[in-house]
Amino acid sequence: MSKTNRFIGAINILLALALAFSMLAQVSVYAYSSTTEWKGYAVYRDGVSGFNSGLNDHAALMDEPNRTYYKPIIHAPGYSDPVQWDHWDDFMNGKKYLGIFKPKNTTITETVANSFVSKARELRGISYNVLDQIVYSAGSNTWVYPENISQLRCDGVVEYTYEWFGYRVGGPDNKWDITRNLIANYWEHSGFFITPRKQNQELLTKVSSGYPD
Amino acid sequence: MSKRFSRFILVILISLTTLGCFMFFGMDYFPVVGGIIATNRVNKYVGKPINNVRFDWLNNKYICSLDDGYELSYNLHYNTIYDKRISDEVRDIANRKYLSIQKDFPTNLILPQNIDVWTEINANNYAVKSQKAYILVVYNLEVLSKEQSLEMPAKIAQLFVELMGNGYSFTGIQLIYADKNGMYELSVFSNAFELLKYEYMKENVIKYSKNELPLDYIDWVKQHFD
Repeated sequence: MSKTNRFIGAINILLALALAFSMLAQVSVYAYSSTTEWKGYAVYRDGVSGFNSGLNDHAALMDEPNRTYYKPIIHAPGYSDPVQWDHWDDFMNGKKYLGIFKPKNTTITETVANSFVSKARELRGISYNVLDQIVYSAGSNTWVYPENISQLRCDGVVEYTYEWFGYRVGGPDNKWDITRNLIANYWEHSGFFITPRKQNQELLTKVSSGYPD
Repeated sequence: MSKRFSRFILVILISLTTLGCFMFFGMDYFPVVGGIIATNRVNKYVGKPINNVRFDWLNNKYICSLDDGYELSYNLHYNTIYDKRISDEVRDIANRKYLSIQKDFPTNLILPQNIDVWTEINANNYAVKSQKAYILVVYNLEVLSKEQSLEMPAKIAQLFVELMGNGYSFTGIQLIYADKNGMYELSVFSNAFELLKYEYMKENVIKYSKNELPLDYIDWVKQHFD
């Protein structure tokens, strides 16, 4: 074999190796994207003592790609604890599972999912409140920041997180944004105008009846 | 009627009204006495005094945290204890069993990779269990009549219970089933200790309305039947 042929052979091997590496990289990109699968989606279950007010369901946001992760959700578990990361069991509590949901007409990309999770994490430590989705004091701010919020209900965590990024959940036109510091918007998210049950039955899109696995 | 007797009657009436209100609203809360019963049951179970037993209003049960961070809960209505450590262990064992029985289901069924099992125990007899199984979601590629589809969730649940064997006490189940005709949910949720029966499961199957169907089911039907 001539020197030139050997050189061409070496080039071919290098090109083949480069191609193989690029394919591996491609595979790893897909593997990475699959790790965000259910991150940022809302999950619901029933079984809350809600006096048939619509509060009978419980909402949480997926903080991890699936429920097998350690503490995969963020939620407002009730008066015993503030908004926090929690185990899947502490979300389910042996009740009936209602499914995975997302804002209407929304594609939850990796960037969007990470934004939702990042914002939801800022809500950790905020106390629970059963009567209103949100209680805050934002002074003359245009927007309601997490540090302005003193109390949240479980559906308030979902509503605030999605609406902060402009994904409408509930409320009439011009007053739907819970993160806008206006009396009208505050009023529309007080009491039981919006409830966890209304969110999962009317306001959000059901993506799956299965577990976030 | 003496003044003292009138007061006694008044206290009784107020107490009954209060309890009636709690029962009417479906609460498993019993003022003062409920807390004492729950504390006694938990103390007996743990084998030492636990001071932080409190009522969880949202989830309708008494809860407490143990020294190692684990949480116990007590259901006054059904007199059951939920011990996360035991429930988790049983779930893992049940999933191993489930993996081994998957081959015994009809091949046209697409079963979920794993199941969830929630275990509570009788506070008077720890050997007696009350277990709920979550089987989400079973898809069927076979084309059935609408009547046959409606019967499938209970049939699959019955087969599941039989294949899992005598080591389990399934008293509740949530099974979601889907085929060409639609999506169906079998839901039996009771913390009582009565084991699941086929006829009862059959009566508790509902079909999802069109607007209750999730996107993944709609895609699945398009993919397999269009």
